[in-house]
Order: sequence, then C-alpha cells, then structure tokens
Amino acid sequence: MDFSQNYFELFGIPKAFLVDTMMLADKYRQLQKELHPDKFANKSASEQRLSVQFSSHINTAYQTLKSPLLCAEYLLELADFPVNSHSLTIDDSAFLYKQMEWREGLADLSAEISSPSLDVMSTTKQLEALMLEVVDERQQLLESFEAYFHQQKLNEAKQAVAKLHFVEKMLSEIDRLEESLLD
Amino acid sequence: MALLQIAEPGQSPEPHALKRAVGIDLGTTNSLVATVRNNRAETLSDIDGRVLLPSVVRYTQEGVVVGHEAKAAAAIDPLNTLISIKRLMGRGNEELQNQEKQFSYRFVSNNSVVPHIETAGGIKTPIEISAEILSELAMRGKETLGGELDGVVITVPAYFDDAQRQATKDAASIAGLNVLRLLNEPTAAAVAYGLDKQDSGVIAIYDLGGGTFDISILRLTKGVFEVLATGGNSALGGDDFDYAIMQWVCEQLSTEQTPLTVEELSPEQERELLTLSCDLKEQLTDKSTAVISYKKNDIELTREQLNQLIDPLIAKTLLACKRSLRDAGIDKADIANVVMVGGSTRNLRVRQNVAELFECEPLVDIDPDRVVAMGAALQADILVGNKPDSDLLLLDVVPLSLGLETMGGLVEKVIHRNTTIPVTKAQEFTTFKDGQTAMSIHVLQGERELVSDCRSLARFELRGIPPMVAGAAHIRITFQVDADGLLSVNAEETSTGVAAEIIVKPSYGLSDDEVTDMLRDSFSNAKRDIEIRAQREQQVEAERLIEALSIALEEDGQELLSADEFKALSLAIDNLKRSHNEDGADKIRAEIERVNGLSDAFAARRMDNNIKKALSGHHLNEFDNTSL
Repeated sequence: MDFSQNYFELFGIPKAFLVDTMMLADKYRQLQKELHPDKFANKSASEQRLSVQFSSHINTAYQTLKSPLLCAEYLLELADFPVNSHSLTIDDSAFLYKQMEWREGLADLSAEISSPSLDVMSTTKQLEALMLEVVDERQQLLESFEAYFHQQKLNEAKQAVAKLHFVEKMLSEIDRLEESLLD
Repeated sequence: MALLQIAEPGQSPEPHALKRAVGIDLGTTNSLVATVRNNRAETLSDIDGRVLLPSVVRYTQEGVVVGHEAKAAAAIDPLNTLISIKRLMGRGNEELQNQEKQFSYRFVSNNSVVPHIETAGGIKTPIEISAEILSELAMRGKETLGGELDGVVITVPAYFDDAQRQATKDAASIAGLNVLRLLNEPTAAAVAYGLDKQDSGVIAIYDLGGGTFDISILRLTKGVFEVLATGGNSALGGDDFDYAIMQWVCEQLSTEQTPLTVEELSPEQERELLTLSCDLKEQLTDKSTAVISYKKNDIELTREQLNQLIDPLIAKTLLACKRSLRDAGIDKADIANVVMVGGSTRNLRVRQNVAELFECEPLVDIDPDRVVAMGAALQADILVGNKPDSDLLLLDVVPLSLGLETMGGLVEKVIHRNTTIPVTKAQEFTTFKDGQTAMSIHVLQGERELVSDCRSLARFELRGIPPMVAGAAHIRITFQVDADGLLSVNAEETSTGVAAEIIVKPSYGLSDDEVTDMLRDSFSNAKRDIEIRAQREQQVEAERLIEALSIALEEDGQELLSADEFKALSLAIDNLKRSHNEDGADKIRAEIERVNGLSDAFAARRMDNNIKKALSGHHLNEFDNTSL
C-alpha cells in the first residue's frame, strides 16, 4: 500500500467535499474484505503485521472522509493550508454573539435539569429547539465551506472550519445534556 | 501439466485439508466449546452428554478438578472451589474491595498487582484458574476432532477493557492454545443466527450472562457486520439476581431474636443460600410461585415479588441500551432484529422489558447458553482457513475510550470509544523543562475526564530523550489497537528520530516475567519439559509459516517475485523445513526470522494486489478462463 496516496486516491474516488457516502462505504467494505486481519489469521507474521497497518489506515481514512468536519480539515491539509484546531481564532462578532446566546440557553437548561421542579417535557422541547438551531447553523457553515473551498478562498474556508468546531462542540454538549435527561 | 506434490513424512501432507478449530465461550457461570462439522456449528458435550461446563475449578492436594464435580463441592469446600472467576479477570488487588463480599476466598497480599488466591493446590491467579477451564474445553475439542487444535477463537464480553482482554489471552497462552482471535460475545451471537445471510439491516444484541451485561448495535451490509456501538456493564448479571434474592431470603429468615444479614453468613451458608436462591429463580421461569426449604423453614417467592427484586437491575440494562442507540445514531424503529444471548435472558421479565424497549419480539430460537460458542466456532472455522471463499467479515470497535494523563490529573482521549478496530493513532507531546530527558506517561481507559474516574491500564517511563530546551522535543506517542481489541503503545522523539526506551508497568496485568513463571510452573518445573514445549511452539509456528508461504508462492510467487527473489525465498523455506524437524527452539526461531525477513517484500506486494482487486471489484481468478 502506498501510504503517500491521499485518502481519496486510496478509495479510488474523486477528491471532493461531502463525498457520496454510499459509494465511500461500499469501497471501504471492499477494501476491508481484502485487507482486514481476519483475512490473514493463518498467514505469515509479515502479512499479519502489514494487514493490521493497512486495515488501520483504511479505518482512519474512512472516518476522515465520512465526517464533514474532518473531511474539510483534511482538504485544507492537502491544499497545504493546515488547520491547527488549538489556535483558531474567529473574527466574526455576529457569530460569536450567537454562540454566546446558545451557551446561555444551554446553561439555563442545565440548571433546569438539576432543579427539583424539572418539567421533563418542556425542557426536552426547549433542548430540541436549541439543537435544531445549531444543526441549521452547521448546515450553512458546511455549504459556505464548500463554496469557499471551491473558489480557492482558503482563509475564508478555514474560518468556516473554525466555526464548525464551535458548532460541533455545542452539539456534543447538547447531546450530553439530553442523555442526562434519559437517566 | 501440474506437478504432483509428494509430502515429506511428518509434514502436513495436504495443505488444503480441513484444520481443527474450535470456538470457546469462557463464561462467568458456564463455559462451552463448539466446532463446525459438515458446515454446521455444534456444541461439544462431555462423555455424559453434558454441553455446559460449569466455570468452577476446585484445587485439592491431589490435583485440580474442573466443572460439575468441582461445582458439587462448592458448598463443602468453598475456599478451594473457585466460582465466577471471570469477574476477577484483569482486576487489580485494590479493586477487590467493592466485590469482596461476593468472593470469600483467601486472598494473599503480595507485591503483585494481580490478585492471588491461596488454595489447597497452591497460590493461584484468576488467569491460571481460567487456563484450567480452557484446557478442559480444549481437551474436549481435541478428543472430538481427533488431534491437536490448529486454532481457537475465545469470546469475551464486548465491554471488556484492555486488562480483561489481556488476562484472557494470557490464560489461553498458559493453556497452550493458539488464539486466532478474541471475539466479542454479541458479535459471535449475530454470526450464529446466520444473520449475515440476510441482505442488510440493523441488529441489536442483548447479552445478559451470569456476571456481565453487553449491548451491541450492529449494521449488516452484504456479509459485513459493522459494530456501530457497544455498551454495558462488566459487573452486572444473573449472579446479581441471585444475590438480590438471597438478601430477600435472609430478611425472611430473620426474626427479632435472631437477625440474619448477608454480611454475617459463613462462606458455607452463603453458598447454600445462593444455590437455593438460584433454584427459586429458576422455578419461577415456568411457575408463578416457587418454594424452597432451608433449615425446616419453607420460603415462598411469587413471580411478582421476584420482579420487584430484579426490576432495578433490569432497568440498568435498559438504560445502557438507550445509550448505545444514541451512540450508534440509530432510532429504535430502525432495529430489524433483537438477538437474546446469555442464560439470564430466559427470564420472562427480561424478555418482556426488552421487547417493550425495542418494540419488536426478540429472537430466542437458539439456546441462549450455546449461541455464543456456536458463533465463535463459525468464526474460528473461517479464520483458520477452512472457508477461503467466505464473505463474512466482522468489523468490531473499541468499547471504551483510551487516553493519556495530562497536566492537572485530566485525561486526553487518543482513541474514542466505538472507533472501528484495528486502529492506529498518534499524539504529539513535548517536554516542559529545559534539558528534560525523561517523561512519565500514564495510559487510561474510560469516558470520564478525571484520571481518578478512569481505569489505569499502564504507566510508561520514556527515557533517553535528547536534552533540549523546554517545548523543543516532539514526543510522538502511538496507540495501536489490534483486531483482538488489545492496545500497544510506542513512543518516539520525532525531531531526532530517537526511539525512547519504554518501561511498561501494566496496572492490573501480569508482567511478561510473571507469565513466563506461570508457564514454567504449569510444566512441573522440569527443564527438559520447558525446552520441549518451546521447541514444539516454534515447530508449530514454522509449520504455519511454511504452509502459508507455500500457498502464497503457488498463487502469485511467479508473478510478483523476480527469479532471484523467488529462488532465495524458496531456499530459505527449504532450510526451515529441514531445520524445524531437527533443531532446537532457538535455531528454528532464527530460521523463521530469516524467512520472515525475505518474505516481507513479497507480503507487501501481495497486499497491494489485494487492494487492486478490491477496488476493481473483481477477483483475478474470475478472468482465468478467458485469458487464453
């Protein structure tokens, strides 16, 4: 296996944002059917070692292309414009303001959940409304990333990725809160 | 014209002959072994026709007994009769505190992190005790199949962490078994139901055994099972039902004058009451009222009362199911099938609750005690090479996140739970002091953010980092989880390429030295025995290699190797063939290494060929007939 191939070449699919997930999954399963360690359980030690390496590599590639955020970052990396998620800054005050509002909403809901007078129905509804709003924002950001990347406006594309990071974090916090409502 | 092959005496005469492989379900309460014969998985029974082997080991001065005979002695000899030992696998001494009430053995305090138990047969670890059970089952397999086993698949709860998996693999190596794969129990059950024959769909596997609970959500597409999410509780099972009933029984036996609490029971009393409690539970499977008698007291338990006792335990399992559905991103309406596994799913209350949660009737056609072993046998048959055309592939996941301790006692996750295995992931760290040459690394498993809330797997010391200013060193730490779900960790200073020396201290596992010591002990300490065993192990390895490479060379040696390469590799294989019949372990090992070294490039080219095949969507041999 040529580890210098990019993930798109590895799967033999065109380089693009938001790849055809059905086709990707299909190629992924075909590759694993040939390379997974289970196919080498009675083979030589060298083949077993290689199979673990290859199969891991395919798993990583699949996870990357499957996730819109990871795929966006990967495309920027391939364009020699890597994103360091720890040192990303956002210079869009409207977005930052919106994000603060979400956080306040989340904190309020979190307080409601731990209060003794919790109304599960109404809290669940509010949580879902918040989630829909954030999901909507994510969709817009993905679309703008695609447009910027297509136009080779890499700085703007990078900004979209930075915002997507915030949005994903927000979604996972909403998720965690929703899970605590289940208990 | 094809050349006829004449096998040398003592070598496997027919490389395509069926191999002997079994699947072993190493359970908390009972264990089983199964194999595939005439394309069907069947569980193997002992001479008395019993399929279940109680996972009970009794040590006496005369020797060791495993199974029914040991179980029968549990009440009279509780200190030397070890039950539910699976619960101690991969557990540390300090972790025993919570479970101590359920284990009234004589634990020895020593320096090891692994619990040691004093028995009439000497001091034993849970790993050695499990090895006895594995040996007993392997023996059953050998007798049925008429010879040494080529390989085994051993099942583990999907929720087992790294230490518990490693302990299981160590037990197999002490029992002298060639482990083809550690397979997750729920995945095995899905295979046993032949669900891979269906076209596609999402399946939930609800596995409530004696001591563990697992829930897995799988997606099936054209023979490939992808585990989407797995969850559960490695310390919750039918034993807890019995324990809850026993507590209730004690309450019934208490009077104001003579109160009776579980804490005050002697080990013998406790065993007896537990057996009676289990009896009550089993009676209620097909009756609405059950009665036992203890010291002339009749105790009656109704099904409603039983339900009240076990409902809180069932509720815990349902919560885990909901979590896994969320993790998998699956709506319960999308679940096509629910498979029931484990003896405790015979309980009607459990079935009813599961049916309500998933809104579909669970599959219970295959005996829930046997289904895992049967699936393991089917997978063993494939892995050992008996079914080269099989389309079945299992893509399993890491059950619990793996991470490293960072500043402030926090855990930085490196591999998240439910990531498909095998997986390799690297993370870079740096030094925080000028001239720092060592770094201590702590590997953890779990979902929580604080180190104290996660399970410690190992501690590493990295030494030999070249002295640099703070922050200049790039220490790359690589986690690799293999297809057995076992973790290995590597470290390297990337700016200079110096591989740092690693000293591993498994937090709850045996060190390599301890495993070697146990192996030695299991061979009556005779030096000659150890040599013979080492030689035998290398011979088996050599035979596997010779066979694998002979087939590979035949398939595409001409195509992928130059004439010189082909000659060199063939020569090395011939040398190994000669050596492996005559020489000692070290010499054979050296020959194996030589062959491995020469075959690396060949292996890589074969893999590349596989990739091409996969992406073109055709097998090369499809074109064989048209190439002329």
